[in-house]
Amino acid sequence: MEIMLLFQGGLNGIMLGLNYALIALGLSLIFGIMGIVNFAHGEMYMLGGYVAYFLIGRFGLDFFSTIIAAVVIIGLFGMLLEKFIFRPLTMRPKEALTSMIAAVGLAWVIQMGAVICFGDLDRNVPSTFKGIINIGGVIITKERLATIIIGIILVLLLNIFLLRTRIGSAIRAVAQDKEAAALQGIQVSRISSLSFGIGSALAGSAGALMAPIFSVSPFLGGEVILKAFLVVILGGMGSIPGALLGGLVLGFIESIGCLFFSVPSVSAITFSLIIILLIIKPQGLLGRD
Amino acid sequence: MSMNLLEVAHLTKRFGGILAVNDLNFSITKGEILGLIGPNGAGKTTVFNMIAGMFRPTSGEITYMGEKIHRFKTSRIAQLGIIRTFQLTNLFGDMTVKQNVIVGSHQNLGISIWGSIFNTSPTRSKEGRIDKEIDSILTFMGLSDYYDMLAKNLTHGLQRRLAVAIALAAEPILLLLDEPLQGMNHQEVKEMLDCITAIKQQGKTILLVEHNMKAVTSICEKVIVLNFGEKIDEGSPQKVMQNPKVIEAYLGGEE
Amino acid sequence: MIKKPKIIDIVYWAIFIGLFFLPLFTKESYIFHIFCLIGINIIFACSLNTILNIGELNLAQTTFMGIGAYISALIVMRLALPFWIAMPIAMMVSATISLAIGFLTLRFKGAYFLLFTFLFAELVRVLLSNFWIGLFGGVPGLTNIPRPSMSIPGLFSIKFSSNIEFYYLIMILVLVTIFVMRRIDMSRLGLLFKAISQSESLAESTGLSAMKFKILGCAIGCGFAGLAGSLYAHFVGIITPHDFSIHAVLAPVAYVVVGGMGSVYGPVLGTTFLMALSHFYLRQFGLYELLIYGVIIIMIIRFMPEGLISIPRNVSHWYGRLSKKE
Repeated sequence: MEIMLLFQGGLNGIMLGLNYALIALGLSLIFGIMGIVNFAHGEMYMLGGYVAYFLIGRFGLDFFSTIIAAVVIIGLFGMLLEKFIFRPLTMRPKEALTSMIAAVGLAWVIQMGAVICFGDLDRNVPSTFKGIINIGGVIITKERLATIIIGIILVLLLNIFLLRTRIGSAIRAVAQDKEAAALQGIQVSRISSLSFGIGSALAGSAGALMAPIFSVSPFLGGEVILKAFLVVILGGMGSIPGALLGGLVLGFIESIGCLFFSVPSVSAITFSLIIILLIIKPQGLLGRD
Repeated sequence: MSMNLLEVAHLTKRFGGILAVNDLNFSITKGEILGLIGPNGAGKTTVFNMIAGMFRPTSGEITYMGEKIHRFKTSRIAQLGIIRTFQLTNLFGDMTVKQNVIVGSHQNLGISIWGSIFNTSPTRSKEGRIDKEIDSILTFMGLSDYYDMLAKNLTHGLQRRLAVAIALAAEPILLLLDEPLQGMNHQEVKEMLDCITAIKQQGKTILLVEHNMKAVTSICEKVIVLNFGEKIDEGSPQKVMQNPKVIEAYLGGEE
Repeated sequence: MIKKPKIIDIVYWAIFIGLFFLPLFTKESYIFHIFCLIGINIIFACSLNTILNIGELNLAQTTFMGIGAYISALIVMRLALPFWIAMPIAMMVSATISLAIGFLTLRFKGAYFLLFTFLFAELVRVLLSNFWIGLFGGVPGLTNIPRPSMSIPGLFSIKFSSNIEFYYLIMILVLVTIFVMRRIDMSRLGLLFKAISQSESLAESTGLSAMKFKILGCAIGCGFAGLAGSLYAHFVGIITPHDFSIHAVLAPVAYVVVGGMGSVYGPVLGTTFLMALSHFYLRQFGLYELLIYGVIIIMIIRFMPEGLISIPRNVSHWYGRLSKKE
C-alpha cells in the first residue's frame, strides 16, 4: 500500500513538475533574452486558466484546441505588453530596476483586473477526459494522464523550436550575446518581442493545462510566480535545461513531501533547502558562471 | 627586479566553442605606451577585459608587479592601480562632470562612512584636498568649463575625455585605454593624443587598443598585433607595418 | 542640483511647523491616527528608497519591517523591557539579518537579490504563520502590544496612549529618518551609491567594490524598515504575518516611485499624497483601489520616472527655456 502511494505521488510529481517546468521555462526565456524578471509571469498562467474556463466550460471546446488557443491568445497578449510597457523602458537608464517595478505593477493590475472581471471565487473547469486508468495497480485519472502527455509534448515542441528552427537559433544567439547577435544581423527587438510572447504563451499553456485539475482563481498568479522563482533559482537563472530539471525536482519534492508532512512544513522545508542550495551552489543546479 | 610592470603568459580564453585568445605572451615595461592592434574580432578587447578582471582566462597567467592577478575581480585590480576605460562610452550620466571625477577619486580618500554622513572635520579637510586634485585633473583634460554639466549632456568628444578624467582620478599606475579616439574628429584626436602623451610624461604606463593607425604610429613606442586571438607580430609601429603578415591580416579583415 | 534644495527646504520646514501645531486646530483622534500611519509609512518608504538607490528591489522589505515589529513586540511583552530598548534592538536585528542576505546574494549580478528576497519573504511568512505558534501567535499574530511609555521618576511620566502623543513621537522619528537620509544623500557615500546604480561597471573599474556598498545600503535600508515595524507594532497594537507579506510591499513601492525614486523628499511626498488620496478618496472604490495603484506605478515608471518631486524642477526648466526664446 505504501509503495502504491509513493507511485501515486511520483506520477503527481511528474505532472506538477511539468507544470512548474513550463512556467519556469517561460520565465527563464524572458530573463535570458531581455534581462527582465517578469513578475507578471504568474498572471499569464492565471489568464491561461481562464481561457480554458471559458473555452471548455462555456463553449465546450475540446482540450487540444483550447491549449492551442491559450498559447496563441496569451502569447499575443505577452507581445502587446512587451511592446507597450517593457520595450520603451529599455531606452532609459536603470532599465533593470524600472522594468522590475513595472512588472510588479503590471502583475497587480492584471490580478485585480481579473478579480473585478471574473469575481474572486474559485471556478471549476470541467474535465474533458472522464474516467480513470489503472497502470499496474496505480490509479490515475485520464485527465491527469492527458495533462502529462500534453505537457511533455509542449516541452518537446519548445526544444525542437529552439534547437532546430532558424528563429530558435536566433533566440539562442541573442540569449548568449546580444551585441554579437545584432552584429550578425539579427533584429534583437523582434526577437525580444517574440521571446516575451513565447515565454508568456508557455505560462498560459500551463495554466490552461492545469485548469481542469486545480480550478481557476484570480489569485493563482501570485502563488505560481513564487513557484516559478523557486524553480528558476533551483535550476539556475536563464538556463533552459535548468528550468526543466528544477521544475521536475520541485514537483517531486512537493508531491512526495505532502505524503509525509503538512503543507506549510513542506513549504518551509523546500524554501530552506533552496536557500541552502543557493549558499553552496549559487548558480543553481545547472546554471553557468 | 624586472622592469616589466605587467606580464601576460600563455593567456588563453575560450567562449563555448570559440577560441578568442590563444596562448598570448607579452609584457609591458614601466613607463611605456604599448599599442594593442589588429583587425576586428582579433581578441583585443577580450585581452583587455581579462587584464582588467572582467573575466578569468581559460588558462594562462597575468602578473602585475610580481603578483598574479588573473583571478582577481575588477575592483581589486583597480585598487592595485590598473584602471581601464570602456570602448562604449560609459559614464555616470545623471551626475555632473565634477561628481563623475569625484567618484573616480574616491578610493584615495579613505573616508569613513560615519565621517561622511555626519560631515566631520577630518572628512571635510580630506575632501578639500581631493577637490584641488580633481580641479587639476579637470583642467588637464580640458573640462574645466563643464564642471556642473550633467555627463549625459556632453558632446561625444567631451564624454570620452571625461572617461579618461575619471580614470586618472583613480590614480592609475597602468592605464588601459579602450579605443579612446573612437568617433572623434581630427581636432579631437590631436587633443586626446596630446593628453595621452602628457599622461605618459607623468610616469604612467599605458596600454592602448586603437584602430586609428596614424595615431598608434605617432604615440606608441611598441605595438603588439593580434589576429584571430594570436600574436602575429611585435615591435615598433614602423617595423610592424612593414610585415606582410600584418598587412594581409588587415586587408583580409576588410572583407 | 546642489543649490535648488534651499527653497524646497524652506517649503518643507513650513509644512513641518504647520504639522507641529496641528493639535491646536483639531483634537480629533482619527486624524492623528492617520497621520501616525502616514509617518510610519514615510519611514518605511525612505528605507525602501535607500535600497532602490543602489539599484536593487527588495521584495522582502516589508518582511524586515515585520521582523522589527515582532522582535520589538516580543522584547516588550516577553522580556518586560521598555520600548526604548526594544526599538533599537529591533532595528539592529533587521539590519543584521539583511547583512547576511546581502552578503549571500548581492555578490551576483542579475536578479539573485530580487528572487532571494521574494523567497525569504515567503519563508518568513510561512514560519511566522505556522511554526512556534506559542511565540509568534500564528496566523492571528500578536495582540495587545503596549504603547511605549517614558518616565523619569519625580519629573514626569508620558504614556503614549493617546494618538496625539504618539503623533509627536513619530514626528520626531520621521525627522530623524529624513535627516539621516539627507545626510547620506549629500555625502560622498550617497554619491557612491548613485554611481553604483548608474553604472556598476564603471564604478568597479575605479576600484569601488559594488558589493560592499550595496550590502551597506541594504543594511541601512532594512534597519530603518525595522524601525518602521517597531513603531507600527506599538502603535497599532496588533500584528499578523499577513501585515508584512510581499503584497504589502506594493503600496510603498508605489509611494516611492510616484514621489520620486532617488530623491530624499520624493518618498515623503509620494507617501503623503497617495495615502491621503487613498484614505479620503480611493477607499470607496474597494478593489479598484489596488488596481489603480498598479496602473499608477506603470504610468509613472513609463512617463514620469523621476516622480512627482521632479515637477518643480522640470517646470522651472521649461520656464527657463521658454523665456530664453524671447
